[in-house]
Amino acid sequence: MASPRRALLRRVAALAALGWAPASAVLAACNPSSSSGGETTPAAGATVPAAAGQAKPGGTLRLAIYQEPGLLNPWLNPQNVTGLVAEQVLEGLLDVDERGNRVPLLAAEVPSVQNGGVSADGKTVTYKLRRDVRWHDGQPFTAKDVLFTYQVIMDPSNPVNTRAGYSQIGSVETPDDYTVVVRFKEFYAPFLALFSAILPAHVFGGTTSIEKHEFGRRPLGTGPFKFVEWASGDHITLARNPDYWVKGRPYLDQVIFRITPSREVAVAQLKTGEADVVWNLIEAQIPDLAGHPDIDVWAEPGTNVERLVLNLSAPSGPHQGDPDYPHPILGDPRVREAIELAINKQQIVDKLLYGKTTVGSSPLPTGWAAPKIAPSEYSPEKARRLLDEAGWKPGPDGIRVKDGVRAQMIYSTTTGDQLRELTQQVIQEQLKNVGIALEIKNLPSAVLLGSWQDNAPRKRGNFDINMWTTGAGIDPQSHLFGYFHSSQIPSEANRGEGFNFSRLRDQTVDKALEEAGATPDQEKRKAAYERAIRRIVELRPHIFLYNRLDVDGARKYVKGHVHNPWRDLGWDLKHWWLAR
Amino acid sequence: MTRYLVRRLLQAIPLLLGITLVIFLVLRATPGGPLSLYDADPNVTAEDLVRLRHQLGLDQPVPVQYVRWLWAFLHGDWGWSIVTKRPVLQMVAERLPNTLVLMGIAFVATLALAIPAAVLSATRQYSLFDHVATTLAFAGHSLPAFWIGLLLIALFSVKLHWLPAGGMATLGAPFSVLDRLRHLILPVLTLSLYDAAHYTRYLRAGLLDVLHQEYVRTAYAKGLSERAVIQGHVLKNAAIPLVTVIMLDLPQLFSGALITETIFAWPGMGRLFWEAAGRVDYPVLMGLFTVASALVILFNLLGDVVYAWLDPRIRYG
Repeated sequence: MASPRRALLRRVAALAALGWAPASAVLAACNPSSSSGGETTPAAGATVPAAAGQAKPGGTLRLAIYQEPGLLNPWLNPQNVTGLVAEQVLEGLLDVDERGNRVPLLAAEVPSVQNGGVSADGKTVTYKLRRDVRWHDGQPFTAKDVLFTYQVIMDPSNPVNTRAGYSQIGSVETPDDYTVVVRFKEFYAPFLALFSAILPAHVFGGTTSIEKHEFGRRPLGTGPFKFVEWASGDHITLARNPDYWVKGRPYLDQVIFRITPSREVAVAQLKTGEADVVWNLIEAQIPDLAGHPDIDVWAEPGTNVERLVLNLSAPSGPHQGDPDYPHPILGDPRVREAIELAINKQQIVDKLLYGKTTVGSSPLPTGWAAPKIAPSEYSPEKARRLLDEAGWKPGPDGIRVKDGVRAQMIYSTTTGDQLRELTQQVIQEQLKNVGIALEIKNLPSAVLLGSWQDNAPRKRGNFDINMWTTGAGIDPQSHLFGYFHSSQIPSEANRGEGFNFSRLRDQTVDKALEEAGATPDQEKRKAAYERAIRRIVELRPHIFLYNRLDVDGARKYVKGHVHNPWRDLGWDLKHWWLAR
Repeated sequence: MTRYLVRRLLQAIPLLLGITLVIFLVLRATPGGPLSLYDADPNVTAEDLVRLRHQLGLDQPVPVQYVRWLWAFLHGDWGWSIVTKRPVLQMVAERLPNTLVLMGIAFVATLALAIPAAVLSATRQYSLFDHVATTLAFAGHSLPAFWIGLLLIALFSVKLHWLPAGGMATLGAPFSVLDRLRHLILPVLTLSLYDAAHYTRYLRAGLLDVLHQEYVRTAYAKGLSERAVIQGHVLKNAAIPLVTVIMLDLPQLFSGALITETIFAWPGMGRLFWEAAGRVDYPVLMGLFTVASALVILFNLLGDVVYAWLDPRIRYG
């Protein structure tokens, strides 16, 4: 017979269980802002009322970065982390929003053929500048600064990262203080990406030779945050710009970029609460943070795709890397198709990436130029049939042979990457299943991804199958042209320039990419890219495995960020606020 | 003695030159370079790379580059970092105090741990203390520094929240000695546990050697207290093997502890080296290697001088 006390406890428990459902419903209804990421962020440049009733101004944000910028002048340093910090201080004429639309920043509007900012042939671009912008020292921002930036880039004494696009400019004129006219010698399709950071002309004392100028350590700009201090190896501090031209922004008082030696140390600091946000994590770190009660993982698809790069030319010998001499195994498109059919990409995504991303199917997973490409089929039976048709018969050990050549290849990627090592093992197993043997031989990043002078295997054509990640920016022209146009095959003749490591040579692809690069008409370009990409997917110089995620970690009280696949984490730092 | 010293110093000069030449050639021979940052960017054209190579002086023949570097270095010009475009000396000057503080305090802590432990261990050989001490020393010597460091962070920072996980000071807070000391505790503990284990074994071995010498037995027989015997007779002689090890470790006061600084996000010379190596920043690397080599040679010489002071039987011709 149950004691009265036990009966009472049981009744209380029953009541609690009954009451739980309505109670939690009530609680949920009372808590409107349950989605992470916060309000929709309007395009940069607009004054924001929006859901600003929630946004609390003030506070210091500590953002952990695992690399230290060499210097904060993005023209002299190509690192991603340099852009992340410098863009809070230095702004450009235009920007890209999270939907992939160009938006004006220091320019008053995006120049286009419709509004007369761009001539019909695309070779004359007129920028009308904002009139209410001031540098952090109070001086007004004018067209002279844009002209100065151009002169700095073209000054032969400055070791600028690249002059691509700028060397195609014939002249830059400033008819008045707020108008800049750029005339190109020849049409440059990605011209809207130029002038991404404007330098203050009045700070350099009249010279355009700025390599060793202190500006690299103490930048001065027009951006939402002013530079305060940089303690080498430790942190970089930025403070709110109270006179910023977007009224009411930024919300934060201070941003401190905490420099940590590695991603793991940064994550440790996030967990102990010494850092509020961690930049640029990898997919493999998601489970470590996912269960933590105070941390949000911001993981969204970006524009990068992890892919197998196949060498279509001879991998060794006197004709190594020469597209006239096809690869004994990979030269046959049926073999390449069979390889793709044999790989279960969805399994890789589900098991190794926790189902958090999508299967790769195209060099452009997203964007205005991206056609819809269906993912490849997984069918080892079809793969085996194709290989049989192509004349590859299984040998005594199960590995196929044709004309005395064994279907055995070397499969390389960068060392020290656990996700890649696991992927390699899965793919090795799946290909063995259809009779192709892969030998895994990895190389350090500096060797695998090195230069022609360093005899990097992919440059010299001395490889079978490589695997790494790359992706296009908002304008896909330089990426697609560099990777798939026949003129971009690295060789002795062009000093090893170009990224067409596969040695693809196809008329359809070439013509389509040339057309896309020759006109400012967006619709024509989009149609040309579709033709090129469909052919690339058909020919398989690359096999697209999975689309990479942009992963960052943050404490739950960090709000206001909207993911932008074409830009980095800090593109909207001016809209971030702390809910505590 | 002075003749010996002068001779050694004169010998050091060609040695140092040879070292710098070898390091220079090895750096140039490794794949990659300061321009490998640009290899993955399709926007950077071959013309850009040729131009950058020229602007950074990397297209000159290697012997010419070496002579230019050497000439500047001898005049006190350590060159400009290729990555940060700042004078190398300035970069070193920023980081050196941080390393000196960390390594200096760790050095003192190490000796404070090692000497008493070794003395007690050796004088009470085979006692419980001795067994415990030698086991701990063996364990500490075998455990890698990074493992000890990570363990300490996991325990004291992540789990207990008693101590900060890294860095020199709390971000955004005003300067406070207490705050700095809190940040010093874990890195110093990591370094000194590892080194103290090391030193304890050396000193204990030296002590055991000396304690069984006849003149020590004579001293005890004469009625001197244990303290007087140890301090007056034993320590100086037993210290010789320890001095060798200390002298080889002292250049770390300058070059820092790479792994510990990395784990604890300490902005010191070790991390400067690590970052420069990752980006193959030739001027910074040459400056760091040269000074570190010079210090090793110098401290070696100093070690020899200290031997002579410790043991008057040692004479140099």
